[in-house]
Amino acid sequence: MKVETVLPLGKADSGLKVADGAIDIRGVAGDATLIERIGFDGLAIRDNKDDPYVVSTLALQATRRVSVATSVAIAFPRSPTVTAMTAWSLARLSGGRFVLGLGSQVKGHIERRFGMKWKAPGPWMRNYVLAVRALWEAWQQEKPVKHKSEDYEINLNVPVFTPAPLDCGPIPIHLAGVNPYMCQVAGEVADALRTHPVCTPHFIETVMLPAVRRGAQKAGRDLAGFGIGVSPLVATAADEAGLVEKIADIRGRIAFYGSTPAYAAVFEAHGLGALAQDLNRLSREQRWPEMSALVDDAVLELFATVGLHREIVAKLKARYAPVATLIEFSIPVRNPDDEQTLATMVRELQA
Amino acid sequence: MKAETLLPLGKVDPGLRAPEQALDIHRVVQDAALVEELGYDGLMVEETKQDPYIVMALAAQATTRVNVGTAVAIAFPRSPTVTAMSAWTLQKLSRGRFTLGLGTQVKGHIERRFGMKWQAPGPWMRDYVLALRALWDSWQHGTRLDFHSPHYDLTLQVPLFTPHPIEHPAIPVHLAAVNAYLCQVAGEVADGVRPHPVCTAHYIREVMWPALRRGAARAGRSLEGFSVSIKPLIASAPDEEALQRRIRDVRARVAFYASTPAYVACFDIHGLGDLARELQALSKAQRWEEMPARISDEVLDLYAVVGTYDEIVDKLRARYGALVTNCEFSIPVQGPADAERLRAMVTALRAP
Repeated sequence: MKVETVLPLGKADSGLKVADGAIDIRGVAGDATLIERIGFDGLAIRDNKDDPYVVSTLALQATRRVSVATSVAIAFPRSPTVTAMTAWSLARLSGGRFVLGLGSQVKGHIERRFGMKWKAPGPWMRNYVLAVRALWEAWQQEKPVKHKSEDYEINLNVPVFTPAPLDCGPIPIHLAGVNPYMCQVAGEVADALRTHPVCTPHFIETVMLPAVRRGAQKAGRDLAGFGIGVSPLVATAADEAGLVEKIADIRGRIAFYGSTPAYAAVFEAHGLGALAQDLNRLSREQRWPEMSALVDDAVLELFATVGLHREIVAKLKARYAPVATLIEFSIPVRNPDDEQTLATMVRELQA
Repeated sequence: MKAETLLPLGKVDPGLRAPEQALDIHRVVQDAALVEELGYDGLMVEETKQDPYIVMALAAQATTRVNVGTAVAIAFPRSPTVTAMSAWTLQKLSRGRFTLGLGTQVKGHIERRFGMKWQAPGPWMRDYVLALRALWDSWQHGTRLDFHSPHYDLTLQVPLFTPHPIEHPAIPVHLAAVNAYLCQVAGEVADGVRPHPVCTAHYIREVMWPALRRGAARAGRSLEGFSVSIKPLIASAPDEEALQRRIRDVRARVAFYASTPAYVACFDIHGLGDLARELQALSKAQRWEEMPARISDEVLDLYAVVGTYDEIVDKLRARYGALVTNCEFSIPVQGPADAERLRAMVTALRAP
């Protein structure tokens, strides 16, 4: 598996990621350099509190080898032409190290945070990706763009606004997905699927991958080289005392996922539909402290990978290597020893 | 006047069909450092073949003093929430040196290049800027977002996606404008206006300033500190012989502007409406080669500032000094001698 991490490395934790999603914008270049030195294959940039493309710019400018992926940028609030141009600029800047990861977000965010009309996200995303690809193809082949779908019609060609061809390979497009329809769209039009942390290997294998294959078949595409990226829930620490704390945090995280209706399908696939309903009810009653207690050890082990630093890599590989090509993982780095430990872990995950 | 430049240095508006001199993204870091070193007040980027926010990220990272900004980014293809966040990130990265310049583009581009529905641009831009300000205000003060307008309703803020307050939250917003309505919107809601190169000094004085004042009055605002940033049409060269070539390019540019219906007001005000319509007809007939010849020296001097390197800064100051706050100007820099020359010109342009 290839190995990615989110920023900032010093705080990133595979279980909790960065609690409030904040990164230090002036620390991005330094962090990116460190991540490259540790041996990661790539950085994953979230679309949380900062423009993910600006953050990607700083990371790419500071590095020479690693890939930098938006993981994921919200697609619909930017016209496909904007996203196509942004990705093109980053590919050119980096000699082809940029990966365009896109996600749909949910209705409430698109309408009330971005001020736009919501539409069924699967078909919309399919057309969005096809529009981006149509623009890229036109720019690369130096021919007029012509895209027409239910969501976008793009056919204006003006030389001043037409980027020159790239001299690196095509830009990979990854889609974030949980539910089968979006997985199918990924199989149809994308180069990889990035799964949500709630997606267990069982769910990936029995629900998501079949949907990806259906999509590929529908589009008459070959899935050779198609990627599956995972961002697992991990509770890991150097010693038992540290691990107990991490486990408590992860239990809370699983309880939160269980209470979220969009993820009910994953719980149902494990015969845990009733638990998800209980958690949803408790969350609506704001009875947060009671929720973690409903996540027993069996459920914990199902959704999270738990182990000491010296055992976690083997556990992750056993669990995810059969389904994933890319894994997001890191431990907080506070000193050279942490850096050394992480470098070893990354190397073993890659092996 | 404050001195601004686009990249690359010496970039000029292309002649009628000459290829544009494209910005090289690999040179942004070193060019930005040079611009700062030459004494410029601002380094601006247009939105043509590159994402302007990415170019500004590189420029901001490579400098410590000079202002950086979009001049302009196209607003509507990005949700205001997207633009607000890009500007917020760049303002944080640059420690308060970012200016957000926005433009509407025209119907054909919004519909057929960006794949969106077109709406009347003036009211749309007003709501867009007000939405940005509502978002920034809510992020800075941790207050509830509750913005409503005919174009956007924004009411959701989730902690994970809500930026933290920043050190310099007052991000200047400039609007690109030609016509009076958009100038009025700028006077109402923006911190500056960026007249199109086709706007003559007379047009800025007689049409744009009154519209800015109307907008400000309507909103009960003062225009103190309001900036007017021009990107004049300039034909300049070290000597007379080279100047003739530049004049030829600029003449073609004026002809192209005159043939563009959106700019007809800038020709009407000079009694040149008939010339504009004649050039429109030639352009429709694809008789481009005939167009520059229709631009007399007198008309050329009206729309462009023409002079050798020794003369050009004085001419710019005489024409625009009382009328604008910022002026875009540069010459191509191929070596240390050019750099010294440009440094002196920037100093002269900025002199009180």
